Amino acid sequence: MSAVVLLAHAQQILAKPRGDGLAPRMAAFLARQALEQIIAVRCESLGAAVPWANARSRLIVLRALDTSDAADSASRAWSGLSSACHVHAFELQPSASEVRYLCGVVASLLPASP
Amino acid sequence: MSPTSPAGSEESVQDVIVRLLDDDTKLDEVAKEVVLAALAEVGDGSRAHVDTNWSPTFLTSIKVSGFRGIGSTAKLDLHPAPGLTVVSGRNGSGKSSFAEALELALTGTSYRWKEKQALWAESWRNLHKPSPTTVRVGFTREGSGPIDVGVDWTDEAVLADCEIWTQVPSQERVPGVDSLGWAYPLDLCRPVLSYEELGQLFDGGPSKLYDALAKLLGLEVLAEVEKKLAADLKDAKSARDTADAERKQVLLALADSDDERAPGLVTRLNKRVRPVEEILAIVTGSGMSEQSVINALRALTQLEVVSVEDISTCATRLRTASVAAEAAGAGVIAAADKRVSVLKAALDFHDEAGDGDCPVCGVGQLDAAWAQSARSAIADDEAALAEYRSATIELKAARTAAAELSSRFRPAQAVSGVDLPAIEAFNTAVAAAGQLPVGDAALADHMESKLVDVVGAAELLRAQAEQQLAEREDAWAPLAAQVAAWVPLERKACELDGVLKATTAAKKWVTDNGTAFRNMRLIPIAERARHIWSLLRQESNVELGDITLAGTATKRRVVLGGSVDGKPTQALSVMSQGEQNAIALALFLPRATSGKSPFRFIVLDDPIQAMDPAKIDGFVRVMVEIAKTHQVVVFSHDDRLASVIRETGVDARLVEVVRSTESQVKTRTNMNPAKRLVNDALAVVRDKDVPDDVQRRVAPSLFRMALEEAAKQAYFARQSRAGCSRVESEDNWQSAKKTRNRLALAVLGDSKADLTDWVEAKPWRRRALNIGNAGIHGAGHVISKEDASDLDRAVNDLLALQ
Repeated sequence: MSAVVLLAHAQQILAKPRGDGLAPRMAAFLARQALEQIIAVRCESLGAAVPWANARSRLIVLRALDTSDAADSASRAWSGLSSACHVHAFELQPSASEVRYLCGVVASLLPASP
Repeated sequence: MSPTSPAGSEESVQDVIVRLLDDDTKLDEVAKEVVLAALAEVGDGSRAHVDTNWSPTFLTSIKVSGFRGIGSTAKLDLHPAPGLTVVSGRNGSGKSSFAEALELALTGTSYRWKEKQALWAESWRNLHKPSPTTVRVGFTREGSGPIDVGVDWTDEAVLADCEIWTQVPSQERVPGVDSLGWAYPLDLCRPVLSYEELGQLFDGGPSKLYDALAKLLGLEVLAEVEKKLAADLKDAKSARDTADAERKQVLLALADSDDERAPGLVTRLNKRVRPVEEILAIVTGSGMSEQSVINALRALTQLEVVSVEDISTCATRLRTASVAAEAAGAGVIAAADKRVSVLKAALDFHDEAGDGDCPVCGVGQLDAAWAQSARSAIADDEAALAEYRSATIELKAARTAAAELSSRFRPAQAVSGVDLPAIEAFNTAVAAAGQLPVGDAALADHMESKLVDVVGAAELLRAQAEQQLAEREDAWAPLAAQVAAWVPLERKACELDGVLKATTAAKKWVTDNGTAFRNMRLIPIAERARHIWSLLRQESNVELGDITLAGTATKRRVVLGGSVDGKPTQALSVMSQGEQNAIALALFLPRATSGKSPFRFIVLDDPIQAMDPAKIDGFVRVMVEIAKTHQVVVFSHDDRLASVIRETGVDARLVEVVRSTESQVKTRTNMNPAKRLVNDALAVVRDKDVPDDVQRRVAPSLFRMALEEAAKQAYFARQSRAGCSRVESEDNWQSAKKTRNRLALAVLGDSKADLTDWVEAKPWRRRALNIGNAGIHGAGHVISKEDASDLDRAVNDLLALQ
C-alpha cells in the first residue's frame, strides 16, 4: 500500500465511530507506516537513500538535507505517532483528534504530485 | 505587528476617535467639538507613563541566595535573545523560586505571595541557609546594555522589608525599580505568569478580565474622555440644578405671598424658558400694569397737593379783584362809555363846523372852551373806563384761577383690597370743593374752607397710602431679593444650557461608540487568542468564537463566545479547568507579547500542570511561535514538556534544575540547539546502517549547522548584552552567508575579520570547520566518531564565547 492509501485508511478509521475505542491507536499505526514510506521516499529523492538505517538517522538525514519545515514536521509526527503506537505506563492512549492532527502533519509531507 | 501600535492596531486611540467622529453625520458640530476638546485635554493617555522606557529588554540571568527553595547561591543563565528555554525540575527543585525571585524583583511582590500572604510570610526564607538572602536579576536593554536589579534582605527582615535597587554596571545603585520606567508596562503586559494566576484569571470576576484587556487596548483614553465628559456634565448640570433648586425656593416663597406681583412671577417662573428680563422688571416694579395696587398706592402717595398758601393767595386775589371792579363803578361805566362817544362826535362836529350852538340841546355853545373841557372829560372818562376794564380782566383772571384751582382735585380711585379710610373723606372734600358757589366773595370763602379741607384730606390719604405701600414693600423686599439672587444663577445656567446639551450628546456618543470602538480594538487580540487556542485546544471540542467587551461600569465583562461541537454557547461555562487554563493563556499571551511591551521576554511558571499531552504539543507550538520574536522561559516540573521538545526536535534550550541536600540548587543546560545537532551528527556516524556516501553528505551538513548555530547563539547573546539593536544584529547575521564569516561574527564581531588565528589555535576547530565546509558532494572521507568529538569541542568553544 502506498503512503496515500495508508493515510486514507487511517483517516477513515478515525471518522467511523467504533465501540471498542481502539480507532486512534489503529489509525496511528497506519499513519506511522505512511510516514515511514514518505520519509524513505524523501531521503531517496534527496539522493540519500538509507533503507537500513534506523528512524533517527532517517530523520537526521532530513534535518541535514531537507527543508527545516519538513524536518520539523517529520520529527513531530514521528514522535507523536510512535508514542501513540505503544502502550506507555502512566500515559493515556492518544485521542482521536490528536491522531487526526498528526495525520494532517503526515499528509503535509506527501510529495506534491503522486 | 508594528512596535509602535499596541496590540497590532494600526491607529492610535485618538485617530480612531477622530475618524469615528468625522464619519458620524448625526452628531452636531458643537457636540463633536466637545468630544475633541475632552480628547485634547485627556491627551494621549500616556501622561502617567511619560517615564516609561519602551526599549526592548531581554533577561540575562537570575541569581538567588537563601530565598525560598534555594540555599546557597544558584544562578540561572538565560540566552538574552529570542528563543525558547524550558527550565525543568522536580517539584521542590527550586525552579519556581527563580520565577518568584524575578517577579519579586520586578514588582516588589509576587502573585503567590499576594494570595497566600500568611503562608509565604513564614516560608519565604530558605530553611537551610536563611542568610544572606538576595536576588539578582540581570537584564539587557537595547540601546543601553545591561542593568541589574537586586533585592536584599537583612537577617531579621520580613519579606516586605526588602531593599530593591537597580544598577547599571559601573554606575551607582539607584533605590527601587522606578528608574527602569517599567511601572506602566508591567501593569499592562505582565511578562511573568504563574499557574495560579492563570487559574484564577476567571475567578477574579468578569470585570477584572475586562480591565486587564481594556488596559492593553489603550482604552483608558476612552475611559478618561468619558470620565471627563461626565465631570463636565456634572458641572453644567450642577449650575442648572442650583438655578432650579433656587427657583423652587422662590416659587415656594411666592406661593405664600399674597402680593399681587406673585402670580405673574409664578407664571413666568414656571415657563419652560424663563423670561428673565420680564421677571426682573416685575421684581423691580418697572413692568407693572397701571391698574395694579402698587401703582395705585404709589400714585396716591404722589397725590398732587396744592399748598394752603396758594389757595389763600388765590382767594385774596379774587376778593381784591372783585372789590376793585366794584369800585371802578359798575353803574356808571355804560353811560360814561356812551357819553364819551357823544362827546367825541360833538368834538368832530365842532372841528368841522367850528364854534356854534350845540346841535343837540341848542342852548349851549360849542366853542374852544367847551372843546377843552370836553376833551378833558373824555380823557377822564377813558381813564375810568381803562381802569374799569383792567379791573374786570383781573377779576376774570382771578375767577379763572380760582376755578382752576378748585377743579384741580380729582376724586381718588379706591384701591381694591386696600383699606384706606381717608379716601372717602378725600373724595367728599373733593366733591364739595367742586360745588362752586355764586359770587366772588363766596367763591373766595369756598376756597379757603373747602379747598383747604381737600388739602388736609389729601395729606391724610397720602399718609395712609404711604403706610400701606410700605407694608407691602416690606413683605415684598425679601422675595424680590430672592428672585434677584436667582437671576444670575439662571443666567449662568442658561449660558451652560448649550454646553449641557452638547456635553450630554457628546457623552452619549462616546458611550454609544465605546462598545464598537472597544471591540474594534479587541479584534487583533481576539484573533491571536483564537489562533493560540486553536493550537492549544487539540482534544477540546470547544471552539472559541468572538471575544467581546460588553457592558459598562460595574457591569463590564468579557464575553467569550464559542461553540461546542458546532453548537453556540458561552465558552467559559463548558470548559474544564485545564481548558480554562489554556484559554487564559490564549488570552494573556497576546497581552504579554504585545508589540508595545518593552519586555521581549515572557516567563511562564508551570503553565501546563492541568494540560493533557495533546495540549502540551499544542503548547509547545505556541511557544515556538512566540519564541521567534521573544525570549520565552517556561518553568515546568513536568518532564512531558521537556520530552516533547527533546523528541520533536523543537529548537529550544532545556535547562535542568536539580536540588540536592541542604537546598543546594544547580542549573544545568541539558540541551542546546547546537549541541543537539552535534548529537545528531554523532548518531549518524554511529549508525552503521547509514551508507557511507549518505553519511559523507549528511554529516558535514550537520557540522555546518551545528557550528553556525553555536556561532549564532554566541553572537546574538553578546550583541544583546551590549545593548545592540536586534534588527542590526539580524541584518549582520543574514548578510554573512558563509560559515566562516558567521564564525568571524561570533568570534571577532566582524564577518570580514580574519578568523585564521582562532581556527588555528586548536586543531579540532580547523578539522570541524573543514568538514562543515565540505561542499554539496560531501566530505572526502567517511566521518568518524573522532570528527564528531572535534565538532563537539569546537561548538563548546563557540558557546563559551557568549
